[in-house]
Amino acid sequence: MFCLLFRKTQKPQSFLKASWLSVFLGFLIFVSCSKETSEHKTTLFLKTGTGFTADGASIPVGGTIRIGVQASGSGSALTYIRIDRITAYDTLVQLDRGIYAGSDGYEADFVFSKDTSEVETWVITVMNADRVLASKSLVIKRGTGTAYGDINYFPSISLGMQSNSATEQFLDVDKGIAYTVGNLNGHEADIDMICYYYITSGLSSPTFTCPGYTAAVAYYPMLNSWQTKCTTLYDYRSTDNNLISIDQFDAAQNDSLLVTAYKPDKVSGNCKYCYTGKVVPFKTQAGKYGLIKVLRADETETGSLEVSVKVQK
Amino acid sequence: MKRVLYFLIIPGHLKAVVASGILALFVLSTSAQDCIRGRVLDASNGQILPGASVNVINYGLVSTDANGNFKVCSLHSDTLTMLISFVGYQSKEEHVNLRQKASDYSFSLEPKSVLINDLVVTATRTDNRVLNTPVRVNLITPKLIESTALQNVDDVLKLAPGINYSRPFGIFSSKAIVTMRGLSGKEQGRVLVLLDGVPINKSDGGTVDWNMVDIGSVQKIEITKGPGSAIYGQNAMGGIINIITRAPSEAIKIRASVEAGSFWTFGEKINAGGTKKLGNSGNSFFWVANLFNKSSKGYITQSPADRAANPYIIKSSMKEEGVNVKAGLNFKSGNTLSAMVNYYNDHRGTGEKEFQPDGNVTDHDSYGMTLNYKGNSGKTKVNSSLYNFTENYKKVNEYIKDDYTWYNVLSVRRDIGWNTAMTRTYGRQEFTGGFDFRNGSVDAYDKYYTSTDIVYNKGKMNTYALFLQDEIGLSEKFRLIAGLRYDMADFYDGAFYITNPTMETAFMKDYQVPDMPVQHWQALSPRISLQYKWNETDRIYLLYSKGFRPSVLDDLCRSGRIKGGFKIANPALKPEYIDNYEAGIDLQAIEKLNFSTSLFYSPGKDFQYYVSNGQTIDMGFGDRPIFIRANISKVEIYGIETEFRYEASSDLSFYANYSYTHSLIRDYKKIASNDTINLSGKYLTDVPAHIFTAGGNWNNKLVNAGLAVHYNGPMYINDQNIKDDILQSVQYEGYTTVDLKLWRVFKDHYRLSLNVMNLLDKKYYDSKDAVCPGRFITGSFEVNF
Repeated sequence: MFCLLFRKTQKPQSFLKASWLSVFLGFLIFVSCSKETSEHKTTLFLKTGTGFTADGASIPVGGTIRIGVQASGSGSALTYIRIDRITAYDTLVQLDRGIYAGSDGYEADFVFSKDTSEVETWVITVMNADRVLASKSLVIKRGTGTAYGDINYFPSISLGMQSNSATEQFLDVDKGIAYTVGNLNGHEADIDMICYYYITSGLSSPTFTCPGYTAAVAYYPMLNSWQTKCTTLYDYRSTDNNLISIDQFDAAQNDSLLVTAYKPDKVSGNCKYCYTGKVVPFKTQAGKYGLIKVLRADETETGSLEVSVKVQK
Repeated sequence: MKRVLYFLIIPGHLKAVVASGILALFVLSTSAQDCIRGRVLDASNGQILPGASVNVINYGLVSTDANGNFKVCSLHSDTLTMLISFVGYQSKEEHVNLRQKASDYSFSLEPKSVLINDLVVTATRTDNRVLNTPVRVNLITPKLIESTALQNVDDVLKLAPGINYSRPFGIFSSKAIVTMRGLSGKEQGRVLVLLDGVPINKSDGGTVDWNMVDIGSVQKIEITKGPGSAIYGQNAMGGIINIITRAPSEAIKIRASVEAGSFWTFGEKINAGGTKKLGNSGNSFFWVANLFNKSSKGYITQSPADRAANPYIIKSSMKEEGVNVKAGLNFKSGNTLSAMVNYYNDHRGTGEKEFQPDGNVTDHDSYGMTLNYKGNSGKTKVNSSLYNFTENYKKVNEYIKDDYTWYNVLSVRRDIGWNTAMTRTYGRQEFTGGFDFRNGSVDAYDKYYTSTDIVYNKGKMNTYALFLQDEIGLSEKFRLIAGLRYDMADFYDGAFYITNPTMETAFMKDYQVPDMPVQHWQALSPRISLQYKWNETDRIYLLYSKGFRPSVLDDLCRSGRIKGGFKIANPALKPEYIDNYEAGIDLQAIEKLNFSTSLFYSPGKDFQYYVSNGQTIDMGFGDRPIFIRANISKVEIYGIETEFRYEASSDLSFYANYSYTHSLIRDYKKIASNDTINLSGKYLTDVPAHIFTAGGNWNNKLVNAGLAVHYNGPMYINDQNIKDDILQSVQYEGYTTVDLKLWRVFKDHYRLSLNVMNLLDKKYYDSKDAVCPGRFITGSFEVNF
């Protein structure tokens, strides 16, 4: 193109014009090709006031730590949130979650339980799509006494697998009520657990899942139309390795075991291989810890699971 | 202008006189020329054709002279019909108008589809006739390319005997794999692919970006079967595929086409080229430019189960564009210096979209430069190429399971090299020797946007090689080829490390190696073959050859997720080797019917396989086995390939071929005592035992047609030959496809084509139960001028 331009501008003046034009065009190309380097800032605020844990607060063992987060990617989507609990001995990741929050920003409340460490620093970190980080921290001290709470105990609940609609399939674990497809209407936002059966890696697997787990729609297509889909996280490492025994489950009278059994670093919204006799620690989207004891697990799509549940009140 | 006005105002009778005079002058000035002059060329390579017949209808028959030139005189008409023909080429009828041009006519003849004596270059790195080369060579001729329904260059390869071809999503596949001789169709690295003699397998993974080669630029493809490491070194285990691009033979030739078809597919293409004589020196300049682009809205590839489980599934779409420019100089009779530049960009959606503008996509930005000298230095023929291929690969990954995950893979893969071969003849012996140098590198990272992790891997490999080959004409009928090549390589600057790891990649932390040790390996590759050829069409040959594939950079320096577990980098991984014992025969049983068959037995050793190291790892969804790529398997491959070709006439031909392969792991060595897997006695995955292809093409006045039927037999899905979780089957189902092409040329310059691929709409599935596009129809309109 530039060659054509020069061929047609043979007079000196025209050549000069063409030179200026090509310099200008070159500048435009250079400007248009230069890499966009501006990055968007990430902003993070922790909620304060009633109900939220303040910096420097003293909380007894088993007491509730509530952290409210308001964050924005300032023009870039917010894509990551992480909460670390740092003690003198270790750092335990309490939350590590990829998110996608656009221009509306991100707001969420998280509930944890105070453990036995004297002093712990909670570090909240968010990141936007430009990979710009923002952090805040809270120092929390151990208060006097303990604050382990009461639990609800539901000794026997039956849940149908994906092809067993005759049995209740949708569990509101907080109330211990299971619903069928027929009487579910209006309770979708309360559902924490569902189950299904399949074969994975060559192994038979009665499986717990939750409405918020993407692949659950393969077994319960109606989830696609739910407005609110709760995510329950199961500690699959404890489940796979039988870290909580049936005797421990049976002995639990308050939420002490429920809180300590759940380790947040190996959790998923899908928990495989939940055979008879397994004990599964979990945490609901509302922040309640609990334990499921599998009393009976059929290994067919038309079968059912019978479970006992202990969950924080 | 004034003269016209005067003419308009002069009186009537005078006007008639002047008009008569002008008419007489016009007639005189355009009276018939006495002679027509021109030359006849081979359309495939631009070479002159001495002895070709030129029949000027009503004026007689002449032959071209030693320089391919002809001259016919005493003509009394301006418009002539000419019939040009030559043995082994398709005859051509041309209509010329001498008013427009009387000399410098250039007629190019296309070689016939079955040309057992065509020149090939790949098998020996020297010009040789197919049946003078004691190796199995299959040619994909210009005629076959023209008559085959295809979208990509690799589509036509499946028509050759024993080709194991995989492009599960048609034009929507970001990669295709073409292997042969019983080697697994999961990896391209065991077959060497050349573009005009320059290797295009990447050192990073042995892969080839077939999409970047515009089929419109391809003249022919040579497929050399069996190991060719004695002459080409790495990757040439199963064979060598050499894609040879068109060379211009006319002063200027431009082909422009548009196409449209299934799934809202649209494309445009321009192929142009020309030659220009430089004075009377005999030197000439030539150039070629190919441009293409294509886009399609695509279809949903995922299985019904995936569709049900994932609300974020969308159509897999594609768009691509490419430019290829080549220019060169022919000088001093037989010397050619040429340079080629390639650019290719594609953007292929892989069918899932959460929040990113185009969802999950792969994107290639590829640049290539080649400089080639081919000529003579005294009595020595020299062919030397410098090349630099760079691929900037980007993959956007996003998905939602427990939470949202988004990371981009960015990988710069570069291969730089210098290949040189020199050939000299001493009596009945032709010696070829030379050296090859190659530097391959990868510099890659996975950058997460839903966590702080960045996972880096990088590494480089230098390969140096010397080779020598002797082609000996022992007698009129016996021919022997013996060759030996020595390759040595250094792997260096290898690294695998993570910055700011979170739970997303923390499980990899223990496998970081920021400074991998330098590794060396070497390979010695012999080949010896002997043939007995008792006439021009019949021969038998015996062959022994050895091939090897080096460890690829991806295995040497990258750890990461693989199907079924986690693989860790193995910088100490060595090449794998295959020995090949082969016998072949070519016969022309009856006139026009050619038959060929090859039997081969190919034991392999040190085959690279994923093997459990006895440990497990939790990648975020429970414990999974850790694998390492190791030289742990001996394999046994044997098979037969057979082919029939029948050329009823220059306009009607048929072909059929069948291959059987038996590919088995003979000895699998565990590296961990608690490894419960034993692959001994298992079949190689992705290898069809039976492949059958048949087809034909028919050129006629109404509409030309090409039909191809291809059967791909069942293949094992996984290494253990057990039922696959996803497909719920031990083997992929065998399938048959039928492709049809119809085309017609109008007024010499216009071509209308209809491509129907997978005419019967057969659905077949990949390892993830994703489905092929089924029937794919495109129509195209092409203008030649």
